[in-house]
This record gives sequence, structure tokens and C-alpha cells, in this order.
Amino acid sequence: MTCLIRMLIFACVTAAGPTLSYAAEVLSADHVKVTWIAPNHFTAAEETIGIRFQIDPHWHIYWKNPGDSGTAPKFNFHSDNAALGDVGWPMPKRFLLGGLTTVGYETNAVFPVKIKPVDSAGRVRTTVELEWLVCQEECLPGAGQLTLERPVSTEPQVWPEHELLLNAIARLPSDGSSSPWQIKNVEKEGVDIQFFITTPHGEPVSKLTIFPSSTEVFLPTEPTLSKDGKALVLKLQPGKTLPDYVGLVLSDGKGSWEFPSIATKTQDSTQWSTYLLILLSAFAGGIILNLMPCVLPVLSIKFFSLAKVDSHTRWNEAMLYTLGVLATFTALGGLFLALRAGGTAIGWGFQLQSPSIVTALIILFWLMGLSFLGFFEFGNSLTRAAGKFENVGAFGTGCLSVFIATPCTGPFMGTTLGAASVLPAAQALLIFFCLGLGLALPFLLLAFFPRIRLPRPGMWMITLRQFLAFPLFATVIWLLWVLGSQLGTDAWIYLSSLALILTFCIWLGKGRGAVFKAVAAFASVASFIAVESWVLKAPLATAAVAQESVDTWTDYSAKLIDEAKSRHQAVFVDFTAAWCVTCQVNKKAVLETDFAQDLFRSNHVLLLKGDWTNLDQKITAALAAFGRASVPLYLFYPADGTAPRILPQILSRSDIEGLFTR
Amino acid sequence: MKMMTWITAALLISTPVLADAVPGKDAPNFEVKDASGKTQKLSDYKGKWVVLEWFNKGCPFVKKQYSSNTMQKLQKTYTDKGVVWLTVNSSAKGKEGYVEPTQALADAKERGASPTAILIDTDGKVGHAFGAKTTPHMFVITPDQKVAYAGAIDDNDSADPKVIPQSKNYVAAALDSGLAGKPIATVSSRPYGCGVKYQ
Repeated sequence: MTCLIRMLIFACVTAAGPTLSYAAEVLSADHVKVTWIAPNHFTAAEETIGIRFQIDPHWHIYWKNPGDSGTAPKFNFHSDNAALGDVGWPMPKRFLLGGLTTVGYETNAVFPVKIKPVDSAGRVRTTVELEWLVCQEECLPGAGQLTLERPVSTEPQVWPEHELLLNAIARLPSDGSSSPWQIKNVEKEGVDIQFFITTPHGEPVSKLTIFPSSTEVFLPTEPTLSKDGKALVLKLQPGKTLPDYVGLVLSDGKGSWEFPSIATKTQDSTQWSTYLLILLSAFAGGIILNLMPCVLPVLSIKFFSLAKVDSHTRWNEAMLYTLGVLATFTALGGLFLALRAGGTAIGWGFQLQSPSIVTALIILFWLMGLSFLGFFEFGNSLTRAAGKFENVGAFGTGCLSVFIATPCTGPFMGTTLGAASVLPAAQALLIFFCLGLGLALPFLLLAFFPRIRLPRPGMWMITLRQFLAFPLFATVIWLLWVLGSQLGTDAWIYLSSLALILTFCIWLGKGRGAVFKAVAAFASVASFIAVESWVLKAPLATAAVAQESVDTWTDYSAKLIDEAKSRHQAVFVDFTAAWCVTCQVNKKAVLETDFAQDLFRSNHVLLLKGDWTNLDQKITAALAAFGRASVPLYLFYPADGTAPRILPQILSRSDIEGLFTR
Repeated sequence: MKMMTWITAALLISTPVLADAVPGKDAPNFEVKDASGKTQKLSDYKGKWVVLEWFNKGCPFVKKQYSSNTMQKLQKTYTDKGVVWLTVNSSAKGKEGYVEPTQALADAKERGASPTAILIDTDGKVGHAFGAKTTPHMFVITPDQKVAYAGAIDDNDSADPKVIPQSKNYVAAALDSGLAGKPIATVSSRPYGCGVKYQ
């Protein structure tokens, strides 16, 4: 009864209506006072504000997984003129009472939340409906509404209590992928689940603690240390079986990291048979790369040009090409591993997440296409100067083919590259090496079997060369589209103009005097630099893939999945990127067909899209949770709340159909 | 008495007491006095469906179920169908929710509750044997004395009675399926509510 009365009082307080008064910005209840931590006004930029619970001594409120008893506070935001993010849950602590363990906060609990005024909003007004439970030994529920109303201006801000908020933000768990502590594998021993953790400098894992984020799976008690001291042990709830994926927050007392989805059936990475299989699929993936439309033209020209030369030169050329491929793959792989080790959450294909590299590639492919058509000789003068064109060319072609091939992450390569990101560096580099060997295989065959006869050189080679210009131009279109989704439609104009100017300059300099040549060279370089500097400064377009997509897809967020789960709604997640060809093929051929869309609709499936066109830590972490470092990744969370299913990287209609007939 | 010492020892070293009541396994038997002074044994109810309801009248989550008349209706509906309903009070003396046996009976009458019996578990023996953590923590026992359901009363952990009409009651669902001889869909859930006020 008392609780009903309390709720009525809150309802009255909030119904009084907030105009300019700050009255509704405070909620006072038994043992708890709730206030905002917010600046005196907002700017147009995104800001993190806080909801502060001041709790009486000896009382506490709860974390998102409250433990043996209790309930997490609930937040329900409304605002017409600001966009609000999810509430953050700073690192909690454990409370022991009468043999029960609960997890939560005491004294001052601040929950940070991101807020961004919508464009041209002069004022921001937002409300949050709150529900909480505060306990000592007894518990008291509370509820009410807080209102926040602030102008938007560019004046310097005043932040009361900012220190408290910054403190809470600092205690928010970071992405697991950036943690110095990594969960290597999970082993089950009866009801004991052991989490083996790698430490950066061999520190003992005893200084760490784990807070399981799934309320259903683990007991909330402090983890114990395994007998060998290398693992932290959580106990399963009585009668529970270990699901395929579990979520937890790992803390070393200072920092904390969230691992939203740890695979509990990790394969033993030291197992030779598994590793060998990964190497083999890397090799096979490398071979398949040869057939990708962006690689094929470059390679075939080099391949057939070897027909012209004697077997000695052929051996040299082929080996140099292989060397180029291997060197570039290993270097790129090394860079990839180094960046990851340094804490940058990147994944394979990261080269194409940089618009300036895409710009350079567009121009490169455009010029190569023109050169293939015979409009001009690419690098001819350079050749004469160096005098050793053949060798440099073969090595260079090797480097180039790696660079342009990497975005075409085809079949086999997703899991392979995922494995590379979790294995020790030496083993991981060997995977990249095998990929390179696969890519270089046709040339290696040429080198080792000099008796392989290539067709005689002749006019047909010129025709073929001209024909192969067209896949290159097609690649230009594709890359323009990638850049367009990164930077917006302006990118098309800038890049097309640059291509026009360069083509004109080549025409201008061709067969004319030195003055013309100098002007042409200067104009080319100047315009290229001008466009690249625009590209570097241009703001990244957000939700690039989602924009042009059918609006049945919602942006990926782990919270949406949880919510759908509690509603018993199935979820399909598409991790994709504009530069990922496989993703686009799957989208057009399967996901966005009426067939698939009808199936999704009739089964009430929530469709989520994780766009990785630009670097996005959240998506990188989500991929890492499934042992992947590349897109595409397709996940299906069944409506019955069982573990998510991973679909093949090349989708077929029957894959989608199979989700609902089983 | 030996059991008492054991439990006290277990509490002193403050290791979590692991629940014994696991769905699909045998329910732990107990012997405890009810509010009218009668000795109650789980084994006396072999052949009947039994519900155990952990109760603390001071707990807002218990109040949520009683102020909305939900718990009373459940008790009436299922005891009418031959189900044995045992309300268990494990609050220790001096802790929230502790009441003398006579008061417990008077309170129940005032609430309009109709359990088969109210078990006075002041020493927490039954609570620890079942691993009861919260009020209300609910257990459903099959006629062959196996645990059919263990967990929360419903799927909404709010303390606000307003949410009850939209909530799915796990106990009612388990009993309906069980009495109809059908398999029970949800056999466990995270119990929510106040911690049981053990010693």
C-alpha cells in the first residue's frame, strides 16, 4: 500500500509540469535522491549527461544484473528535440547479506547517458521515467519522472558536479577488444566454468574480478581462482547448462571491459589439426582471390606478358611477383596485428575504411583502365629511367594485387582472418603468408613448370588487354560508390572531376613540347592534392549503408537484441560494409529479395544492420565476440531465446528458409 | 540439532549456500512446524502437486502480488484443484517479516490468503535446503516429489502492481501444464524480489 501511495506522490510531483523551474529536476524519495548532472545549457554537439542517485549510508541500488535478489533501475527516456543513447552502467560492487550476493552501487551512483540536440533545436527538453529498488536489508521500490530543460547555445558551459559524472564515465566498461586482459578460452568442469585469461605482462589473474552480465546463467558470487591459478571460476546457477555464448564484465579494480558475447565452445588454438585446417583455408581463399573482378585484369596482363619471355626471365618474374605478394601480405598482416595489439579496434579490410586510400585506388584503377585501352603507356618514361622495368614491375604488380584484393574477402577468408586476430603473432602471420601463397599460386606454377605453354603472343593480346580495361572501369564505379557512402554524394563530383582533369592532362601532355608536359604534370598533381585534401577533411557520412537501404533495417545495437529477446522476438543481424562485395551480393541476391523479406515479416523478425563501412568500435567488438575480424557476418537469434546461429558467408535462399522451417 | 550446527557453520564461513532444488531433480524433503503448530513434511504430500511460496509481508515484491489480489487468486484456484500450497516464512527473529505463528494466521485471514499451510521456518532450514533467495521465490513440486519449476513468480521484475496484467505468470503456467499432463515450458527463471531475511 505504502508503495502505491509513494508512486501517487511522484506522479503528482511530475504532473505539476516543468516550465523554467528546476523543481522537477530532483526526485526525493525514501533513502534516495535522484538528480541530473547536466550543464547549464547544451551546445549542438553530443554530450554525456548523468542521472545521479544519492543513496543513504548502508543502502544500495542495483547493477543491470542485480544478483541473487533485487532489481536493476529502469530508465525510459522521452524527448522531441534530442536523441538519447543507452544508459551506461559503471563498474559495480558486490554486497553480501545473509548469505546472498547482490551487485550494485552505494552512496553515489551516476548513470551516464549520451544526448545530442536535434539540428536547429533552440531548447532541449527531455524526461526520464524512473523505477528503482533501494535496499539495506529491507527493500523499498521507488518511481517517478525527472525532467531536464536547457537552452542550446555556444556560450561557455557551467557543469555543477561534473567531477562525479566524469568519474562515472571513467568507470564505464570499455570494449572488450581494447582490454589488456583477454579471455583465451572457457572450460567447463561440472558446475565450475573456468575463464582462462591472458595478461599483458604475466600478472596474476587473482587481481581480476568478473561480473556476469547474464542474469540467468551464473551465480553472482565473487569468482574463485582455479587450482593452477590461471583462470577465474564462476559457478553455474543450479540446474543451468552453459549456453554457447555468455556475456560478462571483466575488471582489474582500475579499469573494466565488457565482453558481450564470449563463445564458450572455443576451439583449442594450439591444436595442430585445427591450425592446419585454417592454413589450408587461407591458401584456398588466396587462390580464389585471383578470380575476383578487381584482381583478374591486373593479373591476367602480367600472366600473359610472361608468355613473351624466355624461361629464365619467366622464373625471375614469377618469383619476384610472388615475393611482392608475400611481402605485402605479411606487411599488411603485421600492421593489422600491430594495430590490434595497440588497442585500435580495426578489422580486415581496414584499408578501405580510409577514404583517402579509396580515392587513390579510384584514380589508380582509372589510369590503369585508360592505359589498358592504349590511351597512354603507364609508367613508360619511368621504365626507361629505371632501366629495370621488368623486375620492378613484377614486384610492384605483386604488391598491387594484394592491395586491391584484400577487400574482396571471399569465402573461407572470414573465419581464417578471425582466427588470425586471436592467435599468437607468429602463427597469425603464417596465415597471412598462406593467403599470399594462394594468391601467387598461378605464377608459382609458371615458374616451377617452365614447360607450361602459354598461347603465342600476338594481336589477341592487345585485344584482350583492351577488353580487360572494362572490369577496371567497373571497379572504378564500385569504388566511387564506396567513397560516396563514406563521404556523401559530393564525393562523386569531386572524383569524377579529378578523373576528367587527369585524362585531359594526359591528352595535353601527349606528344607535345616540354612546356605542355610541365603544365600537364603540374595540373595533375595539383588537382590530385586538392581532391585528396578535401577527402581528408570531409566529415564521414553516418549510417552509410543503412541510408540507401530499405528502411526495414534498424541500426545494430546490443540493447535492441536484448529487448527483442525479452519480447520473444527473433532477430537477424547483418554485419556489412559498402566496400564488401560479398555483402552486397548477398544483400541483392538474398536478403532484400521479396522472398526473404516476406519470410522475415511473417515471422516478425527484427532486422538489424551493423554498418562497418567506416571504422566503428562497437561493430568491431561485436564481430570479435564471434571470433571474426571481417564482414560479412550473419547472425540469427531465434525467438525462443536460444543461442544465436551463425549463417554462412555466402547466403542462399534456402539458408533463410531453413531458419524458420526447423 | 546437528543440522542446525551445520547450517550455522555454513553461514559463518559465508560461502554461498547452493540451492538443492534443481528442476528435474528430487525435491529436498523437510520437516517443519506450521503456524498452527502441526508438523509438515514434504513427503506427506506424495501424489499431489505442491507449491512452495517464500513470503515476507514487509517486502514490496510480495506486496505487489498481494495488493493486487494475484497471489490470493492463485492460491484459491489451485488449492481448489487439489494442489497443496505452502507459504514459507524464513525471516529470522528480529528481521523484517518475522511474525509469531498466531499473528501469521491472523494476517493470512486478513489478506484473504488461503494456503494449505504457513510454514514457520525461523531458522531458515527449509529456505536453505531449497536455496530460496528472494521473496517471492516460487517452487512447484510434482506428485512424485521432483522439482518442476523454480524461480520468479512472473516475468516482470518491477515492484509496481500495474505491470501484472501484462506479465506471464510462470507458476500458473507450470501448474496448468502439469495438471493437464503436458510438459512444462519454463522450468526455471531468475527469482526476483527482496533477499530472504535469513539469520
